[in-house]
Amino acid sequence: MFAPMFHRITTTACLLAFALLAAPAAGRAEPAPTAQEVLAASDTIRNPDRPFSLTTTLTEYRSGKAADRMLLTIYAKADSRNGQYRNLVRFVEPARDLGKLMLRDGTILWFYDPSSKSSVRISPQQRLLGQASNGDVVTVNLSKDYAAELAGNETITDGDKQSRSSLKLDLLAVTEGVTYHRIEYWVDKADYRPIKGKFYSETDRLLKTAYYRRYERQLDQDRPTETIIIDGVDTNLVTRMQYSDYHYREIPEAWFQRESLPRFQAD
Amino acid sequence: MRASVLLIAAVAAVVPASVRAQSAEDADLDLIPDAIMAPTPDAPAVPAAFGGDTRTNLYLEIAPQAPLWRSSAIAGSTEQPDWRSRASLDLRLETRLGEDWKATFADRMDLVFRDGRDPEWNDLRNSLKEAYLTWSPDWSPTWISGGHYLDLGRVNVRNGVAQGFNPTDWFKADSVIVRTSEDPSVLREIRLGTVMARGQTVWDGGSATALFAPKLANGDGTPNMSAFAPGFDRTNRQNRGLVKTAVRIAEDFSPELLLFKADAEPVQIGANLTRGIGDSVIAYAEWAGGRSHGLVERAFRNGRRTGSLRPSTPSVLPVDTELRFRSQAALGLSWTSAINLTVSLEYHYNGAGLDRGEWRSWTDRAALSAAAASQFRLITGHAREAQEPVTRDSLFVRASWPDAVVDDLDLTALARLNPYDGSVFGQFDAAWYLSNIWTAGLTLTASVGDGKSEYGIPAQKGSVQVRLVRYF
Repeated sequence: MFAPMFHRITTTACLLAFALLAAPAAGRAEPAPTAQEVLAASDTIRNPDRPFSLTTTLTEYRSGKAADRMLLTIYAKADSRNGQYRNLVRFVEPARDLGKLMLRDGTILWFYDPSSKSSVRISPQQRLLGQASNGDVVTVNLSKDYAAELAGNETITDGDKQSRSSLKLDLLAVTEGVTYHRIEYWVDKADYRPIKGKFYSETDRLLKTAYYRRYERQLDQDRPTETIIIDGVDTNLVTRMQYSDYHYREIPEAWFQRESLPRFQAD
Repeated sequence: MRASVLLIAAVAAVVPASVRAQSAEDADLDLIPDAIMAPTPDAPAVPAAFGGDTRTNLYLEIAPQAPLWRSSAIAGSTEQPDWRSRASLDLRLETRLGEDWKATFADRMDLVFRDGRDPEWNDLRNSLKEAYLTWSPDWSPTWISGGHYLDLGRVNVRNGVAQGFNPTDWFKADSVIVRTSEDPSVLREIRLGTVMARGQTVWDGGSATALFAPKLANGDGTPNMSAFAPGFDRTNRQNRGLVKTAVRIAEDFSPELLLFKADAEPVQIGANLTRGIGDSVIAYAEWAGGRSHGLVERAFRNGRRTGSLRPSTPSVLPVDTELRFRSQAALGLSWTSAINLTVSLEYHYNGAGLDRGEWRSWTDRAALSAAAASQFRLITGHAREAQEPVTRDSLFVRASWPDAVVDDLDLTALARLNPYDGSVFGQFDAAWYLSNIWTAGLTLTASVGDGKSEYGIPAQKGSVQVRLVRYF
């Protein structure tokens, strides 16, 4: 789910009702949903509609072999002003990074190190701690930042090696400052589950390919509990993000600012 | 040949486009390692202490170093060991004490060996960096979704958004006991906090902080260098107070404003601001101003206070003794490339520092007379302890590249440039993460400049250091 997380995934909008209405059941009288509506429905599958936290285990594979592993907790809450998710990421492993925090509020990112008590402003492109950082670890509500067009129907193999009838969406950034200029996005034709995404830079270079898989019941809905990220530049670099320990939780608005970082206390 | 091309074209025309796209897309799956595609998922292993009430960071570092020396008339005669080695144990502990209380403790011990030529050298230094209690009562009114905090004890308060020089970081002076690096980010990690009472309120869109740090030692004479001296004569030798607030005024516009007052010194004001430019650039500015003495006058006063300068000794050059408004500022741009190389460039302005003419006068005079050289060293030494530039203008550049060239290798380089004499100090650091608990490192430093330049004067012209770190 955080794959585009890896591209900033997430969600928001309470489209639950819409998701039901928009399911493309044969013979239904309602007009077919637009590509943008499909994308919004897909967002709600990746991301709960209320503030939540979860644990993410990142394992980096180099040429097929597991290399680094990181453990993070992620706290996510939608911004009532624009519907976009803000994230607070706490580093748990490795030991040298224990207690470090990363805050993302739109394109504003702060990195906090408790050893030096310093908060450093970083750019969305900067990755301080391996694959876990910044735009890569944070959710994004794609429907808020991208204009979607239906590119066609395709049958593709998903991350669990199952053949799926899918809708392919072409997404073009409409918000300034987003990390990915355009995205090719495949969702399941039946229920709009995200299957795969390919994320491109402004120069149209493939940066990442993401597979969403291992759907399980989490926080009232079937959601992907794993995202596989294939680096677009170095295809020998693959990152597996496994999600567990989902919880709805109250997250104060005040957490999402630099001044709160030294005060953060994990529970 | 021609026939086969036509055949391929014909087949391509018949096969549905979606099928062709499918096969192309499915090729991506071949890039996923077999270990990931195994049918049974590995359950993410979550440590037992995860999210517990206590968080401990502990590491042991061994770092032998070979300094490189040169003769320098202005630097004078200094001890020049062929090697030195350091072992450091660094502990940080945070623990929750009931619902509303939390304790923080951070301590560092540095054991420094040299090649044995100075038996007077006290090899062990303990830095009690932090030791404080935090009380955060849960009685926030409904309009505040954040919280209130009261801290009591030794706290490392660090202000400022710049990297190489922080004018608003009023608690930095004299706070480093064992200078293990010239990288400001490392110095911030190893320095002493200040004993204080601090209150903070955080709400949605802002925060306000007020603190008072009392005088606990008179600070006359040289600082107590015994192994376990708490260092109050460094951090609490006068009463000091700070008030600051940061409020979100607009999207990506949350300036921080600060007001600082120390015993018998005029009020200082300050501001911090950051701004994102596109996806890869951060611009930042830090400024502080107020009536104050110049750096030379402060260095002389400090020298007389600590006894390193006799009260009757006059300055060999005229000194600006006036108490007047002076500014300090750091303006920077930080840019991250597509390969995750981040370069930060900063211009530093120190209104209390030596301007070009004063700098030339002092270096010229110091080259001619031992008395002037001694006073020059007093001035530059004071600037170093105060962690501020000695000259009015200076440049700083820092580059960091995580996972550079090969996996798990972080490279960092920084340089300070004196634009008046063109001299440069550079430091290069490589950190190689051998595993989640072991890190190896290499640090190289070099000071380049002529014999009358800021970085050409120090007797140590460079160093080579290796290190091994074990995290627990």
